[in-house]
Amino acid sequence: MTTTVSDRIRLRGKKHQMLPVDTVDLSCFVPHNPVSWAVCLYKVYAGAVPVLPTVRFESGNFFAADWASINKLWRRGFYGKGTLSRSEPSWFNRTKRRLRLDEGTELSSEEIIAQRRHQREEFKRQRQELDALERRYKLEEDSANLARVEKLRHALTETKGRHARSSTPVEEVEIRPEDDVLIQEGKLQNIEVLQLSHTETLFLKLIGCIDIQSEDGPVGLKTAWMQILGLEFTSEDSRLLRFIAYAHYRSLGWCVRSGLKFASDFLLYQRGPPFQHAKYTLRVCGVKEGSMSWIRYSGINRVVSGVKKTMVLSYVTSEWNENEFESIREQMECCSDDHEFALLVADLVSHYRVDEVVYHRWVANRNRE
Amino acid sequence: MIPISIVNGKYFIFDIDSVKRVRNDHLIIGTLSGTLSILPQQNILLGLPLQLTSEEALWLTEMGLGYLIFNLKSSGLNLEPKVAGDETRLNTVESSDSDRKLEIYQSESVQSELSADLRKIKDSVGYQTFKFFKSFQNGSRYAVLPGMRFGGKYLVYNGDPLRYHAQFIVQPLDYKKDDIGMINIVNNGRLSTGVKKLWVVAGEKEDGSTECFSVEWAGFG
Amino acid sequence: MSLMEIIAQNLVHFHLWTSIQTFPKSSAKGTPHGVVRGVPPKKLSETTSISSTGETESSTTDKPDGDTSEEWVLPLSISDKLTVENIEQIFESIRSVGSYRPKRIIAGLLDDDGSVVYYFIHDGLVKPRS
Repeated sequence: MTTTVSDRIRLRGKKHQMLPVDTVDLSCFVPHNPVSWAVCLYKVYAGAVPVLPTVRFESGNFFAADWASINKLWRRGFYGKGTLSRSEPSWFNRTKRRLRLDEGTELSSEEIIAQRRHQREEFKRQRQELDALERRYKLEEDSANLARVEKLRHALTETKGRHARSSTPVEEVEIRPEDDVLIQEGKLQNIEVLQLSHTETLFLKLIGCIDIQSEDGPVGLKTAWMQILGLEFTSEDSRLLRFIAYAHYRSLGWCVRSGLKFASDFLLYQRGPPFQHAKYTLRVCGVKEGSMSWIRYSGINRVVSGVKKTMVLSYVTSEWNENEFESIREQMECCSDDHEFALLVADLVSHYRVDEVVYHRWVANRNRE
Repeated sequence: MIPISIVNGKYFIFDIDSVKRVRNDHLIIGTLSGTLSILPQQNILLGLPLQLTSEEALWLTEMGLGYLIFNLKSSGLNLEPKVAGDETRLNTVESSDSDRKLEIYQSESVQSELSADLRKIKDSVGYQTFKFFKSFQNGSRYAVLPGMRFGGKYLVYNGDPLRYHAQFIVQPLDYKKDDIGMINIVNNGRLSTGVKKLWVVAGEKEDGSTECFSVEWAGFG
Repeated sequence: MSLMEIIAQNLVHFHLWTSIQTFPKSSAKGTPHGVVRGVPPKKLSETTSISSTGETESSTTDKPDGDTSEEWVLPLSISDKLTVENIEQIFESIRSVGSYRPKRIIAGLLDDDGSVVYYFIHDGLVKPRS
C-alpha cells in the first residue's frame, strides 16, 4: 500500500482523480462505429454498480480498515491518514520489513527520513571531531596536521551529498514482545487503519462518496453531522467555518490536509503529499471572532515561512440575518431524510464566501527593491 | 541614580553615561531612538536618547537605580505638581527656556503617584515574569527584551544581546486562569526548537514565586 | 480506544517504544486523560536544567536507579485546555504514581485525523541545545 517511486510515476500519468469515486472511461466511443457503442454500453453496464469506500465509526473516530477502501480513499484525492504512519498507511510493510517477514519492498518515506536523520547525525559527529582536532592543532601551531584536517573536512563535506542517496543496510532484527503478539500463524496482523478527520468525513459523506458503518448499522449524513458539529452551532461556529473552508478548497481541486504541525488549520497541496510539499498553509478566520494577537500571527508565520510555505488567512464570511440562519438550522434539526439534509447543508454553505489574505513578514531594510 | 525622562508617556535616558551604566551593570538594553545629526537620512544606525520599555523603567525605579523626570508639558499626563509640604523633596531645574521647567521628583511617594502608567504594569502578569528573570540567579545575569519577533512576550538573553543569542522565548500567563493553548504548544515548540531556543510559559503562584515550564519539540512524531 | 490507549499504541507501534505502562485518569489525578510511561528505542536527548541558584544539573539525577531512558507521556487532545497550574499538578500527579518527580514530561497531542505530535515540557528552565 506504500506509494513507492514507481507508483508515483504511474499515479502522475493518471488523470486528476481527487474523489474516491469510480469512473468509466468512454474514450473508445466513436459515433459512426456501432461496435464502439457496444463496447461502451458494456463498460457502463459493468461499472454501473458503484462500490463506495466503507468508513467505520467507533468511539468518535472515523476510519477505513479494509484495503479496498483505504486504497480508494488514499489514491483518489489523498483522504485520511494512516494512524501509525506520517501520512499514507505504510505501517504494515514497514513492520514486515523490520521483522524480516518480507524482502525486497521499496523504502517508505518514514524509513527514508530515518536514514537521512541518521546520516545527518553521523555527519555532525564527524564534523565535531574535526573541529576538536583543529582546535588542538591550532593551539600546538602544528601546521602540517592542520592542513591534513582541512583536507579531511573537505572530503567530509564532499561525501555528504552523495551519502544521502545510498541506502544503509537494515539493522539487525529485534523482535520485541510487543511485536510478537501481532504475529499469528507466522503472519503479521495489520493494526493500522486510515483515519479520516472530521471535516474529511463530513465532506465525503455530504457528496455521497462514502458509506459509514457503526456497530449499530449504517450512519447517515445527519447522524454524522450531529456527531461532528451537533445542531447547536451558531453562524460563526469555528468548526462550521473550518468545514466550509475545507469544502471550498476541495471543490476547487486542492488537496486539503491537516495543518496542525504548522499550527495552522490546513495545508494546501496542488496534487497530494506523494508528489510535492504543500505550498500553502491555511488559517481559517471568522470575521466576528476576536482576532488573534499580532504576536501570535508573527509566531505562526515564522514557523510557516521557516518551512518555505506561504501563510494564507482564509476569511469565511457570511451575510446572515439571524432569522434566516435559524430557519435553516431548525429545518436541519427536523429533517429526517438524508438527501434533503444534504440540500440544507448546501444551502447553508452557499450563504458563506471565502476570501484569502496572504500574510508575509515585511522588513523595511530587506524588502526595498 | 539614573534620571529617566517621561516624554509623551514614553521613557527615555538622555545621558550616555547612564545608558552605558544600565547596559553594562544591569543588562537593561532599551532601544536607541534618536537620529544621528551627521546622518539624518537613514534609520539603521540610531543614537541617543535610549528609549526604555515600561517594564525596564519600572524595574529601574523599583530597584532604586533610577528616578523619573517630568516635563509637565510633554509628559502627556494631566498632573498638578505637588509642591513641597512634608518630606517631599522637589527639585526644580531651570531649562534654557524659562517656560519649560523640568520638575524632578525624587521622593518615593511622588514618584509612584506620577507614574500611573507604571503602576498599572506593576500588577500585570508580564511584569512579574520580567522581574523573575531580572532577579534570577541573584540578578542581572539575564537581559529581557520584547519578544514579538519570536512569538512571545519576552526574549531572554543569557548576557548582553550583542554577545549572546537569546535562550528563552517567554510567555507570561495567569497561573490559574490562562489556557496555554494546544496550538501554541505546537507552534511555539516548533518555532523555538527551530531557532535553538526554548519556549517558556511562566505564571506567578499565590505565594509570589514564579513557576516556569520550558517547551521544545521532542525530536520525534 | 481511549485517548490514552491511542497514544500508547502510537508509541509502541509507530515510534517503537517498549515497556509501556498506562496510568488512567483515575489513578493519575489531575491529568486530563491519564499518563503513559515507557522507554523510547533510542535515548531521547538530554538537557541540562538551570536552577535559580545558578548551578546546572543533569536532567536524570532524580530518576531511581535502573532505567534512565524512561519517559513520561501526557496524552492530550487538541481541544484540551491547560493552565500553568495544571502542568504543575500533572508533575505532582506523576510523582504520586511513579514515586519521583520527572525532570520533563512529553505532551502527546492527538489531532482528529489520528496524527500525534510530541513536545517536551521541562520542569523549570533548561539550557537550549547548541
